[in-house]
This record gives sequence, C-alpha cells and structure tokens, in this order.
Amino acid sequence: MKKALEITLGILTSVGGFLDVGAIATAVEAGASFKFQLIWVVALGTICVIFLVEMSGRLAAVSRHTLVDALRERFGANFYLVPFVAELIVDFLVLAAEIGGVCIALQLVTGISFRWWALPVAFALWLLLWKGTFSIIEKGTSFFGLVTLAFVVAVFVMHPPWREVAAGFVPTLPGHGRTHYWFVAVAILGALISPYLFYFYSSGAIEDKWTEKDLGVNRGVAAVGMGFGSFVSLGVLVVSALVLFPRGITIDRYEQAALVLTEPFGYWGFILFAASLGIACFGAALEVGLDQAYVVAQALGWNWGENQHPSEDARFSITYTIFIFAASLLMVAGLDPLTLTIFSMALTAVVLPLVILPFLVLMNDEKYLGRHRNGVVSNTVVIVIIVMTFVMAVVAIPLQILGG
Amino acid sequence: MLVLALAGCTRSPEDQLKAELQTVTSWAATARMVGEAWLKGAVPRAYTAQTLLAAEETLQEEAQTIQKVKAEGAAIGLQTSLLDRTQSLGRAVGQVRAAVESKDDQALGQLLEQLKGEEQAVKSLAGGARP
Amino acid sequence: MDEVHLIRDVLDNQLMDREKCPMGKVDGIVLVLRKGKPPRLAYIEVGTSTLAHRLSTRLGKLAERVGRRWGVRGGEPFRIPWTKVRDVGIDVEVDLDASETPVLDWEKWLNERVVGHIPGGG
Repeated sequence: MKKALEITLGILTSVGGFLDVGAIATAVEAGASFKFQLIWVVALGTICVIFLVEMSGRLAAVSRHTLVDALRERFGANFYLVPFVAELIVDFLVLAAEIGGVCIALQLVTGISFRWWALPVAFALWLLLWKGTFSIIEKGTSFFGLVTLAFVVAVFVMHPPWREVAAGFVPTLPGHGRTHYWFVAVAILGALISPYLFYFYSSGAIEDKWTEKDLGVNRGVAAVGMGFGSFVSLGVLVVSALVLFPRGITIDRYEQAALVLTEPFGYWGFILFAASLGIACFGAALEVGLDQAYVVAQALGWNWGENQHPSEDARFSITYTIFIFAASLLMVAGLDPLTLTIFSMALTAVVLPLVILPFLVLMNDEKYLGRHRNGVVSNTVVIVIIVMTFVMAVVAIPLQILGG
Repeated sequence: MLVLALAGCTRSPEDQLKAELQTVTSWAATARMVGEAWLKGAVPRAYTAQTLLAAEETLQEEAQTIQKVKAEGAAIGLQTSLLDRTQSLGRAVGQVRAAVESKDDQALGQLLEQLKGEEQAVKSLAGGARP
Repeated sequence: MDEVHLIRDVLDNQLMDREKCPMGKVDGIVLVLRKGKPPRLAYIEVGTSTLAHRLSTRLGKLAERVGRRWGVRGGEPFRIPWTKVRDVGIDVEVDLDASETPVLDWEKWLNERVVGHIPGGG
C-alpha cells in the first residue's frame, strides 16, 4: 500500500517536474514548423531520460552517493572540474530561462512587461526555498503541474488525424528547412535530457534515504513518470501542429505560442496556457535553483539539504540565493526569454556527453553498484542516443547560426 | 527562426528572401489570429494590443531587412513585390491595432478580412510551395 | 584485512566528523619523508588552495593569495592527522568535532553575518 502511494507520488512529481520551459518551447516550435514530423525525437529523448533517471536513482539507492559525490570521488577533482563547470553554466542559463517563462506567463495575463516581473518572481522562488521543505516543493510542484494536462485534453478535443500523428514516430526528413529541422531536434533532446534532472533526482533519493529496497519504486517512477511527462510534451507538439502549422505561424516569441489553446478552449485556453507555462516554469526553476546549490555543496563537501533550516546549511542556502537572483538579472536586462530558452537547450545537447559519459562509467563500476550495475541494454541505449545528440548538435548549431 | 535573424552572410539572396517571406507570413498570420481571438473574446486586451504592436514592428523591421538584400536577376522581382506586400501588411496590422484600441469591433471584422486577403497574396509569392 | 587505495578510496571522498557532520572533501593527502625510514602517511588536507594546487601551481598560488587577503582563516588548508581517521567506507570518518575545527569557518561567518540578518534565517 505504502509502495503504491510512493509510486503515485513519484509519478506526480515527474509529471510536474518534467515539463519545463524548454520542453514547452521546443514542442511548440516543432509542431508549428514541422507538424508531426519531430514526434520521433520526443520519443527518443524520453527513452533516454527514462534510462538515465532510473540510473541516478539506482546509484543513490545502492551506493548512498549522490551523482556529484560519486563523480568527484571516482574521477578526481581535476577531471570532475570539466562536467562541474559545464553543468553550472548550463544550469544557470536554464534557470534564467525558467524564470523568464514565469515572467512571460505573468506578462500574458497582466500586460505588464516580463522584465518587471523578474525580481518579484526571483523573490517568490527564493522565499519558497528559504522557508519550504523538500516535500512541500516536490508535492506542490506536482499538484499544480497537473494543469499542464490541459494540452493532452486539448489534443483529444481537437480530434487530430491519428494516423498522421502515429506516422510521426517514424523519422522522416522535411522537404524544406532541413537545418532548422535538425536544430529543433537538437533543442528537443537538450530540453528532455536535462542533466539537472539526474542530479536533482539522485539528491532527492539521498534526502529521502533510499536503499536497495527502493529500486522497484525507482524503476516505476522513472519509467511511468518520465513517460507520462513526455506524453504532455507530445500533447503540446500535437496541439501546436494542429493550430499553428496550418496558419503558417512559426514561433519567434512566446506571445505567438500563447494562442495554441485558444482554438479548443477560447478564453480559458489562453488562461490555461499562461497557467501551464507559469506553473511548469516556476516548479522547474525551484528544481534548477536547488540543483545548483546541490551540485556546488556536494562537489565541495558542504552540509546540504533542503529539509534543513538555512542556519544549518548557510553556504548551501546562500548559493541558491545568489544563483536565483543573478539568473533573474538576465531577464531584468531584457534578454529575450525564448531565444535564451532555445539557446540553452541546444547548449545542453552539446555538453551532454561531458556529463553523461562519466556517469555511465560510474554505473558500470562494481565498487559503487555491486550486482546492480548497468546491463548491456541500458549502456547501449544511452550511449547511442547521447552520441547521436552530440553529433547532431555540433553539425546543426553552427549551420543554424550561419543560416546555411 | 530566432537565429535566422543572424543569418544572411552565407546564403544566396533568393534563400534569404524566402526566409524573410516566411517570417512575414508568420507574423501576418499571428496578427490575424490574435485579432480573431480578440473578436471572440478569447484573449485579454493588453495582450492583444502588445502582440499586434509586436507584429507591426516586426513587419516594419522585415521591410527594412528585405530592402537591404542585394538581389540580382530574377530575385529582384521577388524582392520588389515582397517589400511592397510587407509594407502594406504592416499598415494593415497597424489599422487592426487601432481598431482594437478604439474597441471598434465592426471595423475590426472588415480589417481582418482585408488582412486575410493580404496574407494570401504574400503566401502566393512563395510560388505555391510552403515556405 | 581490507585494503584501502589512497587515490581511489580516500582522495576526493566526503569527509565526516564523529557526529556524521560533513567537513568538506579530502582535497589532499600528505606523506612525510623520513631519513632511512619508509615515508609516513601524515595528513589529510582540506582547503581550496590544496585543490587549486592540484590543478596548477599558478592557480594554487592565486588561491593562496586570495585566501590570505579575504579568507576567513587566512587561506591555510586544514590538516587532519591520519591517526584521527576512523573509517574509510562511503565517507571518510575522522574522530573530530567539525564545529571545533576551521572547516566550518565560512559556514559560521555566513550564518552570523548574512543568514542571521535575513528574516526567517536566524
């Protein structure tokens, strides 16, 4: 009974936690520009993220190490410096993009420019982390995150051509804009396979004191939770393909994306879009902000934990405070939130091998995982997808920038 | 899309014009969709005004970008007509915005019809194929 | 007898005091050479400058200078005698009380000067 409850909670968490500014922006862009043609990329990214989230939970449960602890210990400080810096930079940009997402949602509803919202939003995020506990943040994010299911409902209301949607699971090349096609594919993968998820998840497993007994729960949460989360992502893509693609609207700004739900739901659709964007990004910003403090504190061996009072882990609390307010300054400065989002997702795809390949080495180390170490299947799946993403990224990003 | 704005250094004038054409079409369609949603009461006023303003400004910027393309031969024809269409779309969107701001729903309905016509005229420049 | 590999099992491991309070990472291991006798395992070092020295001498010197100028304990790495080590497992446990050592200086400084002044922090 307790187990069932835990799995349910875990799944709720991932639904709330999975959808963030990157997933929404890239899915809307994919649907608007290439109709259903990029669905296969969402599927591929989901498979990879399921494997990786399961691994980070398994690592924490079996070895009692967070991913960061294990990486520094196994590879040494000098080697670890590279993924550490890469992760902090990417996390910082993603955090700014998530804050931007919340600000845009507020701008959509109030008409007040997103730049004015950046500091109040940063303050609200900080206050929640400062005062809240891990479980409040986890459960709050999940509960409110369910509003994003509006996209899935919209798909069913709009009766898409299911045959065509299904065909999207098979990779095909578009007749036009191939560079852009690969660029969006890279951004989708970067958005789905976000490294912060693994660090965050393994830290959560340590905070919840997981042991080998929790491996079953871990598998369930990873597979069903991440799978369900990407279901919502697909919902966003399909709705966008049904509403924006036929009109020839491609996405240059979030304001254009805001129209996707007005067709099935009218005024409520507009509100639901703003609420989904705002809540998903707020939840993700909490997670990314916390994640940065986790990564720094664990890399340097400080005491850390969201369940502790700030006075018990002052360095940890000050770290997320600085990161959150610094990231919000990018929005105050008026950086375009959508550009920042897509850029940070593409950048994530580039740094993935740096972060993931050492992680895989760890997952095959008997000293950490004993008999629970990786099998051939999970190794192969992850390596293939990560290497493919990297190759796509280094080819597509320069081409996209040069406009080739 | 976004990064395309940085483009233009390595592409042929024709490709560049096609990319601009897509942006123009996209923003014209956005403006019309926002206007229609406003008529149906599906979007708030401030959002409508802001998005229409963004569309108008983008179209004006596009007109300038198109003007700067160094087209040769057959592309000159495309450049001239695209520039023409873009400028007139910008004006049309401006009128739509004025109608929203003065809450003139009747005029807005007519203006949106007009906008639809202009939008299709631009789309036809792409030569039938989707941009 | 279990074997311990210094680099694999000790260096860069989490350091815990006797109350399981985190004390940082094992940033360095120091051997002392003795004439006519085998080297003796002397200290574990904790400190940013030790860490920086491992990466490059120049960076190490810079870290030392920054530490002397702004550090709460003058930038000196903290040395724990090897004889204080109690266990090398998931973490390296030492027979010390973290709050009596300088490793928590920054933590205390932040607590007094910053966190304590923020409502809800003290």
